[in-house]
Amino acid sequence: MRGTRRIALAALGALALGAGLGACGGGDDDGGSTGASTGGGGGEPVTITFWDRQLFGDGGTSDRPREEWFSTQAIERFEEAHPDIKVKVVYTTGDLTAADNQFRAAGIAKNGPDVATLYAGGPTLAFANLLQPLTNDIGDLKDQLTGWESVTEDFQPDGEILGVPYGAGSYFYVFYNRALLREAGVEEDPKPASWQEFQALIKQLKDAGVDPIAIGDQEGYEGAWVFSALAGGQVGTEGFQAMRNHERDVDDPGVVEGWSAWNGLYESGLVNKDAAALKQDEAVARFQSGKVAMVIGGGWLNQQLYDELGDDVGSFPIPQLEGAPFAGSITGGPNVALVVTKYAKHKEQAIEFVKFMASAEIIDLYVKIKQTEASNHADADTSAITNPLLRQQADELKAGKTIYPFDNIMPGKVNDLLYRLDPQVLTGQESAADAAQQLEEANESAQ
Amino acid sequence: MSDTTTSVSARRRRLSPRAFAVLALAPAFALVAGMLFYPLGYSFWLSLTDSDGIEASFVGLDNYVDLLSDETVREVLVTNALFLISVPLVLVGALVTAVLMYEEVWGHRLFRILFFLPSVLSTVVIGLVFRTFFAYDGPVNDLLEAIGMEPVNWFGEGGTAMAVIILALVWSGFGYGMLLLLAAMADIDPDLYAAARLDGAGWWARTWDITVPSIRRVLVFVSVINVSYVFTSLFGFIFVMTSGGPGYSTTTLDYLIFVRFGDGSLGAGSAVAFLLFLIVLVLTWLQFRVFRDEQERS
Repeated sequence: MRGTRRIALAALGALALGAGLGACGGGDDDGGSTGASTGGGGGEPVTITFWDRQLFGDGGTSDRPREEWFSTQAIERFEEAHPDIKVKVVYTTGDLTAADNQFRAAGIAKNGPDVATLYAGGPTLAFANLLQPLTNDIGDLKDQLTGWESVTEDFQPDGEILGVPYGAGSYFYVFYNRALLREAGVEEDPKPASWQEFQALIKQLKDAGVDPIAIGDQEGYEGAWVFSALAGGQVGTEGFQAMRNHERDVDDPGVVEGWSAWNGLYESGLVNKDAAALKQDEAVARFQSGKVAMVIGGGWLNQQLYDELGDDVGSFPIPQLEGAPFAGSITGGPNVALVVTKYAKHKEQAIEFVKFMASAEIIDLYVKIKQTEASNHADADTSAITNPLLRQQADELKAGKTIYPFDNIMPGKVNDLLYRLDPQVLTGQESAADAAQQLEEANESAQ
Repeated sequence: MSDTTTSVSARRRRLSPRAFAVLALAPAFALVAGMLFYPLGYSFWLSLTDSDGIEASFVGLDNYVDLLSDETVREVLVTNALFLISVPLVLVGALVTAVLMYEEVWGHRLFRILFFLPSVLSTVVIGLVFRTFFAYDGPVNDLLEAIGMEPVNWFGEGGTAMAVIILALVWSGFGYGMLLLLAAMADIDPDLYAAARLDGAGWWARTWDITVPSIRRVLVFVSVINVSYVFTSLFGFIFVMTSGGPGYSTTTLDYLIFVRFGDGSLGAGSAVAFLLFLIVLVLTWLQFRVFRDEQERS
């Protein structure tokens, strides 16, 4: 009975979740997306539903009260400016796979949101069938914002625009604790020019008796960022795009060389032994608590780490291999996209909401509150950046070359395999060459 | 007698027992059809298509052919089979503790609650507890180091990660089995034990020759639900403890469905789901068959 009971409970839970999401997505009597009201004509206001995977909200990432979240404040401003439109926001999980599953399931049932935040690049393009093309609706925005290549069908310049890129992008960094670096007697603002120099820095810290770095790669996400930096250093964004278009093999010697360096770091014995069993947020927690001197993450950690460690925290981009063709690049890129669903009941109002959110003023508000990335608007107010980490990162980006991450470009099937294989490559349970070959096979089958 | 009463009585007389039975069963049938047959049929249909959930093209049995040639699926099937090790462990744990409870050993009331407690905990909670305990810098490794042993990277290797999950599975599962077996033991005639004692039967002989045969049906039931549990309900443990890794070494069929659905391969995912359904169906049938044959022989 235990199994039956649990299955029954799971079914009930699923039903409840489905019902809940259904209610959130539409069909609610109080003016949900399937409500009878039309809005804009002097009648009851129209309610559009907005799903946010904690990219605009702050659930689980800060202690900020909900009324201070970017999403809350931006929606308040929108509703003030548009009294005939109400926005009902639903915060879904921030986990990439789980959030994608929810969005896909809702899309199949056509009871999802009118507007949603998605991860830009491949994850957005993978939902092309569910998304309303915005090519003819965005007007001047096309000239005002950057990052359109990350939301354009098949990354083609003349492809349909499937969403609006939001923010200048998330980039991957190594964060360090200056206090621990001082304690180890090393330069407190290191700027390793190559992966080899980075590894030497780790060794210096270890030799000085400081736990140098916590790697948390159980989910494979951290490894994917490093993969993008190291393999990207060899083949560049164009190389990754050629792989997506099947014009270049994923098991390219450059990819294998880059990925092998990741394994080399683990094999050196300089990093935590549980690197492949530790979750990324657990690694960040070790860094935040001052147990380790460095952690690998991204701009989304800027405010969280600054709140915790203050001026002791610094960052530098994940470096590439010495002599790599794209050495000195910063890995990352447009990370957030605002999309309108094809099945949205109030498309006109949904597009109006997206355009409002993409205005210079509202993106500035996003930057000011989140401090995770700069604005991608031509009329951005740079004074919105108050976090020293973000300010430094924004300055570096102005001067630097970038590599768009592998998993923002490749199809989901290849990415899922990358996340699964990476911890094994890291620990040497799978060779980089074999793993790359498996990625190539997955890419071929995704054709 | 009023007209209304007459009319109701007349209707009652007109309704045959067969019709009444059909009517009584109709709501339950509708529920089962809606909640079981329809999803099952739809899932089977999806498994015959190449679908991302929005668009589907019929591909016949291609997804099943791919499954058979897919090395990952083979690895996952082996993993699932290895998790079956937990079933005899749960059965033995449940049986031993049930007998001890039945014999009212010292503290049996407290132990009965303690042993059952994990059964009412969420798998996520249990998973997190075990993940914390077996973390590289967790209490289990602290203990090992305290006695001079090397710490073990429990979740870094497939074998040890699987061992921890099996331990969690047994720990959380045997209490419920114990309670079921204990309930079955309440029906055993105490005179049987008294007679056995007079004949000089020891504890082991009494357990093996009286208790076990008397509760055989419930043992089968506990076995069946645990086998089914291993194939259909490990998701929570895996998701929290290992995310199916390292590699695919702790990925089970239900977790693989999640992975396949996650990358948008709804057709391939449905094929795995249908394969899982068939495996559980066959295993359940086999268990009932084996135990029924044994019962008939004895």
